[in-house]
Amino acid sequence: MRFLIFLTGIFLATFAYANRPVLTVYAPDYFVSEWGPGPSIEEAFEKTCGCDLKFSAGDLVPRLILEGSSTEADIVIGLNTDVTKKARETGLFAPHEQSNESLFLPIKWIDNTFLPFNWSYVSFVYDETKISQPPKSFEDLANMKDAKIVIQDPRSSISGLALVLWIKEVYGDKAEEYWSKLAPNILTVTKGWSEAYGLFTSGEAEIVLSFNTSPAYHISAEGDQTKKAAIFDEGHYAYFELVGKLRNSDQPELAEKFMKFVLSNEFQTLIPFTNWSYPAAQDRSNWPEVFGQLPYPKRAYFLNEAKADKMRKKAIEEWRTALSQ
Amino acid sequence: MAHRTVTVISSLFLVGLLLGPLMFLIHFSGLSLNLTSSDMAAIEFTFVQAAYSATLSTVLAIPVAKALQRQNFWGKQLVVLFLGAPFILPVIVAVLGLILVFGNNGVINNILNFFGFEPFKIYGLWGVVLAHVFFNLPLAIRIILQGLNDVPGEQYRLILSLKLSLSQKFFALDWPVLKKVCPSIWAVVFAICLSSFAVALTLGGGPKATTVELAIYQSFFYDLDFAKAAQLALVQVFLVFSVVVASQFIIRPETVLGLNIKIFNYSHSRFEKILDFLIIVVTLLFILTPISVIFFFGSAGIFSLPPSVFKAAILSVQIALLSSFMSVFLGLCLTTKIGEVVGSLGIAVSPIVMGAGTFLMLKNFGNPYLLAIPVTATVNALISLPFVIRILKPPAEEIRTEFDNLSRAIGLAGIYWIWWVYLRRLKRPIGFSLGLAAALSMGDLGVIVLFGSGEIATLPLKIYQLMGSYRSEEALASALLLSLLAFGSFAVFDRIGRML
Repeated sequence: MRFLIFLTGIFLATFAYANRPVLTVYAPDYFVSEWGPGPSIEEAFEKTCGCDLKFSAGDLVPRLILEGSSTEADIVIGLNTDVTKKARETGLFAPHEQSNESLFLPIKWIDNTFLPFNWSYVSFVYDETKISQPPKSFEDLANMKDAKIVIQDPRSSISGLALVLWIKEVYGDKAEEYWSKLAPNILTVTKGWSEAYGLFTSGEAEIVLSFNTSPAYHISAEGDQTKKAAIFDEGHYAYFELVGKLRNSDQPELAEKFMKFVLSNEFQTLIPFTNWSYPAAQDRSNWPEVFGQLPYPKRAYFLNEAKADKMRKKAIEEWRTALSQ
Repeated sequence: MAHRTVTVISSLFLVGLLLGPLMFLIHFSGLSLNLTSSDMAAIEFTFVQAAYSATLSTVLAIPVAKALQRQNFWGKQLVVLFLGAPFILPVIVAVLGLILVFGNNGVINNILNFFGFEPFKIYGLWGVVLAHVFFNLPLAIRIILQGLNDVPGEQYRLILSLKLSLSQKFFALDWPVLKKVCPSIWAVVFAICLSSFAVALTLGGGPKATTVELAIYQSFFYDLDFAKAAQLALVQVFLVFSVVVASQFIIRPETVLGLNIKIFNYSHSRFEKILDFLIIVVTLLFILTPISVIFFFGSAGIFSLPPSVFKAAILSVQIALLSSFMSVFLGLCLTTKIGEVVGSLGIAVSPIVMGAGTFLMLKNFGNPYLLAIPVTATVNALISLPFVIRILKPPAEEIRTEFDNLSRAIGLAGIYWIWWVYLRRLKRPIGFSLGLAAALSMGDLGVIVLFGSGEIATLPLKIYQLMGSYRSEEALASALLLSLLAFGSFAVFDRIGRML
């Protein structure tokens, strides 16, 4: 009976929604997950837009390329600079039409198509109760005994790709050699970030590839001070998350409204406590206290999209070869 | 003859369905083969895991089958029935259950940890092998048990009167049976594991544990390298096809004729009894624990599942209905010898290969995602077709030999013959095979991974997504829902077939 009522409910709900315009937003799986910012962003935007914001979770760039101009997407959120070249080449994206001047980033942002909405440094997060001597460099990480590390597949996850490029940038021609050295410590390679982070929080692994801002979640949401980001002497990969709007969108006004919303104070204030990273359009002094206190690296690596794209194929093949042995 | 025409037409249709995607794969492959060292590693891993899985499944099945054969106890039929459960159980559900039991935080590793042993690693080779043994051990047990049961009772009487030792008894009674049955079981399990996708997708640990099927998916979606995907798909077709052909040369077990005197009351030592009892209990624990943990942990959240899960469930039911009717319809048209051969071709062309080929074929004409539902239903129908034909063919042949003369004499032919003679007499096997096909389709996590997107997701894909975003509670509750749907649809169709 309960099930029947439930079904009728769904049926009626789809009816009620049918009259509101739908803004379709492609986002990665983690974005709409338990820890993701998706649900609160949807709620905040729907309050003012008079529309139905629908997230469609999954791969971003591959899906866009396969769907081409017949794509349903109006907005794509959760890209980063390592994949924007491919995304740009689809010719599906329109200029973001927001002012890059309103951004507060460690670098000067000049792209007019993709707009950063938050950023952080790619880092390994560890459990202090299980790791007594945290690694201070990639060498330390490879030399750790009995540490189980979970990373993401660079072909399906952009944080995974960031790591591969980061290591390639640090090690150059010796990157494959380094991966072979690190391989025994890797418990598994997951498809996406949230799967890996889930393995970490459930105790299957002690170290996970994530971001230097991830511990903020444990500190403020759980009062747990034991999860920390290992800061490496070599410097860290700076990771900007981007949003873009589609040229062929059937809701151009809503899409434009959403891009504006991304830089608004409301959205930017949601970011730290939902996506657990630094807001892109707020000055450090406006960040929540926890974020201001997080340790961060002295040096940042940043690859522009052309360089990232050039390195990508070789770096991934080296990773694949080293890890398949 | 009318049914010969039907067979020919449906065989041609089926061959077309299989060859179309294959042609496109050959076209996209550019007729070349550029395999990198990691592709070679995937091929090697595919063979290694399949060999381990097949060997372990076969070897472990021997003592269990022997124990079930020689011991008689209350509930034995039930035990044999339970051994059929993994066949219908959706792969994703079993994987979830196995992670709960054998994962780093699972019961087994907590025990191992307590005694200071190395933990069992479920991600990677051994996890993949574990899941394959979970699915194929029961199959192996049932086939061996059947072989052992076929030994005529006279032989037992004779050998018992000779007062032989344990090992002599083994070589005199069981060895001849095992020698005949085991190689073909090994080959079947090996072939099944070669095409492993869902298990490798969920338990494979990155490049180190990638099967060819998974590599096809990865080059398809991660790299958008269609040429590489097509090349790997052709490699996969070649691998499975050669194994299937090779296994035809293995001697098939033949039935030994006797007077069917069953001997149950031959005496065992106390030691044998205890040993057999232990073996049966451990096997049951291995099969039933992962299923029970899903029921245990999943039941709490089943009423608070989000609408998207129910939406996925409804889609799964629709696809299952569509594909089971399609499969049984084709099966009814293919109940001849040629039909059986053609119907089995689907085994060599795995779901992912079919899916990749169809995707590339449809890509030329429009958005392949729009055809996700019919493509998934069709591919699922082809997967269950060999089983359906195997179920329908013997009774169908019997009907033809028994009723053909009579039908001709009273002028019953064409559609009337099909309705009054063929379908009426086949309703029980039809019900059974509809149930089987529906359950298999319900649990399938193959093509839909290629064609599904955020909007179109079947229940197994939804569970995979929930696992990926680490909503374990919802994943477990959805897994329970999926098992209920799979077992439920089987039971309902089977029941209808018996009642009508």
